[in-house]
Amino acid sequence: MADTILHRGEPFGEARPTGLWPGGLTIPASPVEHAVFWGIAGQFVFYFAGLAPVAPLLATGPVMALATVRIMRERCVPHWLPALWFACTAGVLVQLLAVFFLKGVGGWYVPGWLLTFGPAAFLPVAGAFVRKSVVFSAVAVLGIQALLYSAVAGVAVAAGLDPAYPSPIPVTRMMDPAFHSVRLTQPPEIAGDERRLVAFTPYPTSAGAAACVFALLTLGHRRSWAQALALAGWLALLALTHVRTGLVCVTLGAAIYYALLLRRRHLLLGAGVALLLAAAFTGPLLRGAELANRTLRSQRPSSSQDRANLHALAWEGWLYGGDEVLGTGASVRGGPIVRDVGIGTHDWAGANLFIRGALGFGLTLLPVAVTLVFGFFAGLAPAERLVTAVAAVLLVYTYSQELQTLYIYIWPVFLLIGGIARRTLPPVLAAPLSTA
Amino acid sequence: MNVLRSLGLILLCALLGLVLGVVGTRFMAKQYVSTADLAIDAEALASGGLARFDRVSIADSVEVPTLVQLLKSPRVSHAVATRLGLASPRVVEENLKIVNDAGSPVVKLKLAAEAAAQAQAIARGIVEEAVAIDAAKKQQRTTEAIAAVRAQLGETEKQLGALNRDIQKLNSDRGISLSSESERQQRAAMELAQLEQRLSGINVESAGLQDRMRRLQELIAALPAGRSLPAGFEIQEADKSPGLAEARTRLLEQESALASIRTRYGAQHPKVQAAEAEVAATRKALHALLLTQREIVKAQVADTDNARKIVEKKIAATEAQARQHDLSLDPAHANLLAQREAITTDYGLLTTRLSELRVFAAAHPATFYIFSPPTLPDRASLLRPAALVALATVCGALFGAGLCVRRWASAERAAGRAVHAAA
Repeated sequence: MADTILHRGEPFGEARPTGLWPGGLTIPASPVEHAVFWGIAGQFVFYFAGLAPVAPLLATGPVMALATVRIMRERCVPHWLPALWFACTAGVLVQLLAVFFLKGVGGWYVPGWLLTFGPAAFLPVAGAFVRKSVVFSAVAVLGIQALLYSAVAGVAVAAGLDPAYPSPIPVTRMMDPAFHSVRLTQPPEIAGDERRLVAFTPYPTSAGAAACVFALLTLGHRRSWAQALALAGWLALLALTHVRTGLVCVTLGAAIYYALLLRRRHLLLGAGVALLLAAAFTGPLLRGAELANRTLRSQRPSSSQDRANLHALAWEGWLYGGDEVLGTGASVRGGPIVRDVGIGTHDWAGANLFIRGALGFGLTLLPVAVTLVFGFFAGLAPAERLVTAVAAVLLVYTYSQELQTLYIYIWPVFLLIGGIARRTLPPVLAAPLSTA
Repeated sequence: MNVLRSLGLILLCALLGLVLGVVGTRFMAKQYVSTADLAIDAEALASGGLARFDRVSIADSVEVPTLVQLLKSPRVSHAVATRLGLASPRVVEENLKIVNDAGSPVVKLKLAAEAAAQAQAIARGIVEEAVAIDAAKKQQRTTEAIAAVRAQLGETEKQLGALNRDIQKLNSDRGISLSSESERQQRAAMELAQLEQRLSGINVESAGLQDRMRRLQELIAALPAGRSLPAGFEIQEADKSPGLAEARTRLLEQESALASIRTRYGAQHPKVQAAEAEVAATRKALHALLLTQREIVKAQVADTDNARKIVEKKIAATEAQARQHDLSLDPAHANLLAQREAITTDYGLLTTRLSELRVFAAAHPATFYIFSPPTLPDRASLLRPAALVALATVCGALFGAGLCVRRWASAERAAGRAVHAAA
């Protein structure tokens, strides 16, 4: 257990190097790192074993439990950024309970909090105990699996094969029934003629978002064949899910990641402001933006129209529904205009305002926005730049997705947030502390 | 040890929160929840096809959202508040919860109030008011439909009367009584049939005469040439005049005898020459008789042709007369009759629709009905107390976590100060 001995004066939680696997993959050292590594790398295994309904808990539960024990044992005072994440997401839980108490609705969201907001609450704190290279390595391993999956599933779907079988876990009201079906593509009754891979998620949109974020995280891995294969895997998966936002976001995220290599951040800010002003005061930029938006929407017009309708309904419902602060607490069944999709879903800003009100909206948005600013000024290391890029991507993803749904799959990002925001203890407290 | 201490503090705070929550529930006003089920009539009479009594499934149509909106509408809550003397319609609106599973035609209503009877009364008021509004809407639509169909029936009756008058006027203008029309048509048809039959007989007779004439011509041509008569030649029944039959028999006998003695005596024998002279005389007589017969047949053919012409003229005259008196061939009359038939059909349909609408109205149609009447809750709801206890426990646990971190930070600062002081 020598690998888990911590030394005062070092950033706590940084285990000593333990060597590398082929492809520059970091070997996990501590129990928390093992939980992280296998939790990330085992996503496809969980899915095809039919454990999708409990996979988020199986993957993040041990990490959260081990990290909590370690925090208590070592009496670690967390950095203010993970503390903010914890406070905001715990605030969402309190709000859910308050709405349940006041209005008697939304009770089913309370257990769901552990799967969605739970990782966002605990994992940034747990990130202090996990080496960033372990996270990158695990994502790379998962990316190589994604490459194999994309090849096999792509060929199978092209050949007209789409095997499906139910999960052995019984369906409950707490979980979307889509989690209880194992398949390669979205069911035809939902997707129509389109064949979009779902990877280890129930929906292609979630798979695309995960592929986008994980492709960015793969950039943080050492330059090796493992990184190349993993990148190819994530990009192949992204292409086969046909997720438009994901394609835009992976480009944007990579651009931010490399742009942040510029040491003088005020120049970047200046360039951003200048671009905004140019867009506001000149025609070509605005027209270009509108053209890009129109092109993006025209790729799947019915989907864009449904999302626009859902957003409009949710937005109007929040504005005039009388639940501006706390929200309605639950989604409302949509009509034929949105193909019976619930109002307060498949959208972020409108949905959050409608269901959780201004308070829940603020509690969800605040940590993401603060992380973006923090990461921007944090440094030049890959992890810092990646956290900034992913925070920007999450803000863009608010265009079409509920963030808390994405949190189920992109939880390794929270470990990185904790990784870049950790306190360094004063050297005067340098006595070694054995955790064996 | 640290773990146990920290965990203990958090659990202690959570327990404290739980206790406070439980105590808080003692001060909460009790809530009783009355539930009722409203069901969409899975098959309702199609509004667009009342006459045919079409039944369509509307369980998964817009009717469910409509019902939910109706139950939540200010119209219903105001009516219930007024009827029950409540302080404000918000008492209804804020305590009302509607639940509907996707695809289900049943809409569940939950109404919370501080007293069980009050909860049941408000819930009953809501469902009854909603059903009454729906029934009134349907009844009004049916009444309006009946009035519209009646008006249309009156209009159709007027059109039918006008058309009948036009048809009668057309007949009277031509001096035709509508009642004798068919009899006259029948008589003309029979007369025409008889004439056609007669014409057919004449044609057959004419064909027979032509045949006879052809055969007579052949015989007449054969006899003077001295040729023998055709083998098996028979005189037809119609041509068996005594003279012709006798001459034919005699000629056959003479030719037979001539052949016999010519064989016996040779061609130059006087007996043979005498027999040849007899045959020639007989042939001449027969020829004369055939010529006479031909003249007779020719006269008969002429008579037949005359008769055919007469019959054909009569047929043409009969047809012309029939056409002159047949109104079905008159375009104006035919147009009037077609119009009358179409309007009569419309009239029948409208009459049927009116009857069905009356039946529909008598059935008191509704889009939905009370499936389960509002219940009288026998105990207070535990939902809000449970939510309060959970809320207080979570808040307590979070407070405990905050305390832990604060203690750790204080300890860290103290240790730093101690090390600094020692240095």
